[in-house]
Amino acid sequence: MTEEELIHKAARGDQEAFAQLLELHQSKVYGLTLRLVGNPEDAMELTQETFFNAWRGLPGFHGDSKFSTWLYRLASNVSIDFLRREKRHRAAAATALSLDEEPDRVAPVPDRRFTPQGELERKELRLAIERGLGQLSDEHRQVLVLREFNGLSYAEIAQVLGVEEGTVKSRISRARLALRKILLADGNFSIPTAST
Amino acid sequence: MNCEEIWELLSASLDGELSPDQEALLTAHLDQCPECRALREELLGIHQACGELAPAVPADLKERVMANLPARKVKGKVVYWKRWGALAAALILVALAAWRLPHGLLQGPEPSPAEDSARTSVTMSLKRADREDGEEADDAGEAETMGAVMPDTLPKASLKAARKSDAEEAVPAADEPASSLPTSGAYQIPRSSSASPAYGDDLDGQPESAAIFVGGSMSYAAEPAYCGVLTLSDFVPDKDYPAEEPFPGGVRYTLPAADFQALVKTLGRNADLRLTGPDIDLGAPWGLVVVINGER
Repeated sequence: MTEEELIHKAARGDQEAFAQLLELHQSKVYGLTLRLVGNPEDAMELTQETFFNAWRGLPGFHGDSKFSTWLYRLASNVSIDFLRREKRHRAAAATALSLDEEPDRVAPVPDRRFTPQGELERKELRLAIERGLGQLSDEHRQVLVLREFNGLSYAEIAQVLGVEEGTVKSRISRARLALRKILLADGNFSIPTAST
Repeated sequence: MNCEEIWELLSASLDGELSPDQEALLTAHLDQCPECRALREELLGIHQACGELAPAVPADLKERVMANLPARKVKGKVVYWKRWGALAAALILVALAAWRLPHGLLQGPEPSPAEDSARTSVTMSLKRADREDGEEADDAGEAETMGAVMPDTLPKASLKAARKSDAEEAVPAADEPASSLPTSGAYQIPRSSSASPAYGDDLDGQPESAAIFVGGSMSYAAEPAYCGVLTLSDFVPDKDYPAEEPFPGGVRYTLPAADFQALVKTLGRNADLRLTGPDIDLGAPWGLVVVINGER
């Protein structure tokens, strides 16, 4: 059954079809909420909330965007709402370190480019990035997570955030430079040539 | 191009989002700028490391979502509203009377300077356009107190100001029919209306009128703010709300915040409640209920 068929059935109340959609998208939705709020417990709650909202909103989903993009928007909304409500984004994101410790359970990630580096060095960098993400502004973290972890194109991110593609482009650039600066300050990122 | 301008291209190149022209521009710059070349290596390293990060999904996520999945149909009958019915009906009559009086049913005497001054004070404090007829100051005051502010008297100048901060634009509305209204034009919804005057007192101190602008010519920033947007597939309000607006595929109700919160509370966690987006102001005195027809 195609995703479109599943969506159609789920919109008419077919829970089994919705379960299949959930299975297809849960890792990305969970990953997005986790990166945005910073701890697995809240991410679990927000992922559930996202899918509740999706279930409720499916009859109103008319395919103007991709289903995944629509889901990410719901997830992004509940996460940012959560962060604002709780006013805890700084503290929460700092606890996001233990997320990639089980690579055998890791869901496939698009754009997985790879360069030969020492495993230790890569792991250190990954941990530093996890910490660095927590120190970014919500705005920068949101756009970077959607790009790097959810693999969305600039056009799709623009749809999720409701901004122009040009804004996405410049915001991602600023977010990367901000993350780089944090990594440099953190001392976990060796740089051959300083350029800022 | 200087280095700072190049950085954006550099970032976009990692994502494969450059046009051939931009790619050529970037390559030309990198050929003669060792610092940007170094920066490219660093950003590429971060980009690649990000690609290796993926969280383990909790094993019971699907189970937990499905176990708590609410039934699609939600009956939105709210017993809470019934308590207000009798009071609302009584106040409707008073408010209507207050409104009709100055419009010809009973023409009062010319107001004294003192009365005129009082009237001006009342109307200005409520940001309402002054009426040029011979209404009684007391009538005007009473009408205002009851919340019988008619749509055509609401000044556009008091519309909510643009809220265009980046933080807010970063949280878009969900993909729901609430954002797709059928026709072009501008609608204004009274802050409180003669049909729900019981809530007039709750709205004191709320300076903005609510307005819905439909169509491409109006600025998005001029749209109303709601304290929340609730999406339901089935909902039958116990009383007629004046702002009921059909749209393709459903109906919208604008509820006073108190009613809205009561409805949300009744639905509990089953509620499909949106509390973020450019159209949301948690302090707004109105909530929007979007009822989507189950059958498409």
